[in-house]
Amino acid sequence: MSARDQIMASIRGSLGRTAAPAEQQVAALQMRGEAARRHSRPAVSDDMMGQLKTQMARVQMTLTELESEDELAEAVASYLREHQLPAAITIAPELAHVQWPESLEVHTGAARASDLSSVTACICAIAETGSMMMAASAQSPATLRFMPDNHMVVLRRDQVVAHLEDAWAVMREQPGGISRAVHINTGPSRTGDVEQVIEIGAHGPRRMHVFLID
Amino acid sequence: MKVRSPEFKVRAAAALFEPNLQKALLNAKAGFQGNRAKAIDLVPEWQQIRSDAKVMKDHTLENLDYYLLQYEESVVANGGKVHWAPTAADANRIITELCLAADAKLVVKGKSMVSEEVALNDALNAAGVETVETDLGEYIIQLADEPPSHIIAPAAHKTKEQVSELFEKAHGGPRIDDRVGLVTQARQVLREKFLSADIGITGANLFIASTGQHLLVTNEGNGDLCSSVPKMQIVITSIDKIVPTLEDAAATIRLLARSATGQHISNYTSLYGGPKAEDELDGPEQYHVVLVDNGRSTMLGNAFKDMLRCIRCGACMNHCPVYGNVGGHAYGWVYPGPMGSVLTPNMVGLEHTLDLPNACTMNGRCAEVCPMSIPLPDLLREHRRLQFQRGLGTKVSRAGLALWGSAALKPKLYQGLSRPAIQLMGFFGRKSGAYKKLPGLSGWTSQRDLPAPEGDTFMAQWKKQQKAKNS
Repeated sequence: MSARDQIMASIRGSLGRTAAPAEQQVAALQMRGEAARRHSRPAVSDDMMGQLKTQMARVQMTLTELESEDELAEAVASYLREHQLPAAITIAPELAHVQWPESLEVHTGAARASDLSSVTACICAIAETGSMMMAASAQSPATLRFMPDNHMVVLRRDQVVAHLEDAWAVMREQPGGISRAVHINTGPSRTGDVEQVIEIGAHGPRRMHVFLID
Repeated sequence: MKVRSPEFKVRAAAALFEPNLQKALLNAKAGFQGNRAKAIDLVPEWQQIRSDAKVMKDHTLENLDYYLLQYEESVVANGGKVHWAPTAADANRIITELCLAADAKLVVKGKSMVSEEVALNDALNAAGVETVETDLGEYIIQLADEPPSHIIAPAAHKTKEQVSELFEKAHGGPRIDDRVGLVTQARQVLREKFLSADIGITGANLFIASTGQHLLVTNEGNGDLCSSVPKMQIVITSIDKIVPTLEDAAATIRLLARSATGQHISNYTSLYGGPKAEDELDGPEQYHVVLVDNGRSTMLGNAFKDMLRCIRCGACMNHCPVYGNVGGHAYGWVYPGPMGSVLTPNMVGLEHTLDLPNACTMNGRCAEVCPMSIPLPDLLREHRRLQFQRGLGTKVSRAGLALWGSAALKPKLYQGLSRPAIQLMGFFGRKSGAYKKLPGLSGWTSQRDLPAPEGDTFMAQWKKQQKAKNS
């Protein structure tokens, strides 16, 4: 008997069955799965953008509002200056179309060990929790959101959704379907493992900054 | 890992006089309880979210065979592989073989209670594979060569000074005394490990049948580095962590973050399901999931089935007066507190864990705060019942229980015996109001006084009142 069969036999024995569920039951289970019914969830304010900002601030995520994507490059440069960071970024290929200024050293690709600052896009933001959802792809390497000290995220105003479930819907509609790695990041990395006192910057980014574009 | 639960009484007693531990426990308890309460106050829908999740999980467990097979199909469709491990030894063998086949020298690990349960690190180390824990708490206890004392804060029992000492010994001097410095040093040391590791192994907070993904939450981001930097990803989890859909996952993580740390969501809540696509610039080339049973499929059919709803948030131990005083190590195995006292006897045998179900005051706070509505005190009582039924426990306690039981089943006899005793104790205790010492009960009275009965038994007073009412 294979290990799987062994576990199945034990499960079915415990459930008082000897075989797989009957066809009718399987049909009911399939229907449940496809219906993807949403459970009770915390209400989200009518002012979704307001709630998003409140939740972001709660977890030390910072924000710059921009009128258009044309302002992004300068805003990134000025963020780096403001925090006295080297004028160098690693960007996700999805942002290669941006006209980055000459003064910025721009690398496109996955994160390198020495990278201090990264810029990526996101697929949506979740007002319920103040989170940025990002999907790994050739256009958006996963390491950019975890290795550098400073992670900057570009968010469009129309990408804000209310609940996690709405974010799942966005995720399912991505070209190419659901990505192998979907990250819902909510503020800079933190730990409470030394005496339960929260310290920022455990393994992931020490700063997480969002550029919100109209 | 050696089961030290038989030493519960000795270790619990020692823990009470351990000043560092008492300081750490007090500190942890206040933080955990306060943060949880604040977070839940903000969610008027809490009880509804909780009851939805219970219904969802019961449905999942009722159809566990179907959902596990659906999950495997989904993982295979994503290009990953599922390995089935009926026992702890199977899990260790499977993962060791995967590591050796990949010629792995160094494994970075995310915090996984299932890996603690099967003692994976020992197995890998024995096979010549170095394992490094990357969750800061796990890293600290790995350096100290100790098991976790809490399921979400494994180093909750350590003070900052103890961490400084461990780091100085492991990393070389100079000694760092401030918290920021300690966190920064761990970040630097472990970053090197992430970059040179061959394999990343993490647990999963849950996994999703319909999409073949597993969901992993951390606050440090270490789980995501484990999952994104090395060439190979291995996930070790147990069969009870499955949910059918992403919507069911959402319901669960809302409960998890608030119950555990009082966060609205954990910092990093990530879904993984398969190896990297060919054109991706990073990510693992192989994706393996090891599904561990280790007694859970048996629990599905016995009185402990409700325990399989557990999402490992730690709220029960954060609100347990026994855990709050003796800490996690006294329990002597991997899972401490109320959930541990239910699980451990199921996994290592009731005969090795006689004290655990009895280390409970039955105050019920654990069940009250449990986000998955697990009736923990009932399950502990069931373990006590089984102990008696199987003839376990000391002769004295069994004889005492048998005597009490046979009297309690005969109300007239019981009342006839208890009334004079109560009256006598009431009479002699009238003056001081409490007994400081009682013959044969010094173990109990050394820690507290027994309030003197106020004259008569409940049944006698009840009868008297009814009589007065009717006359």
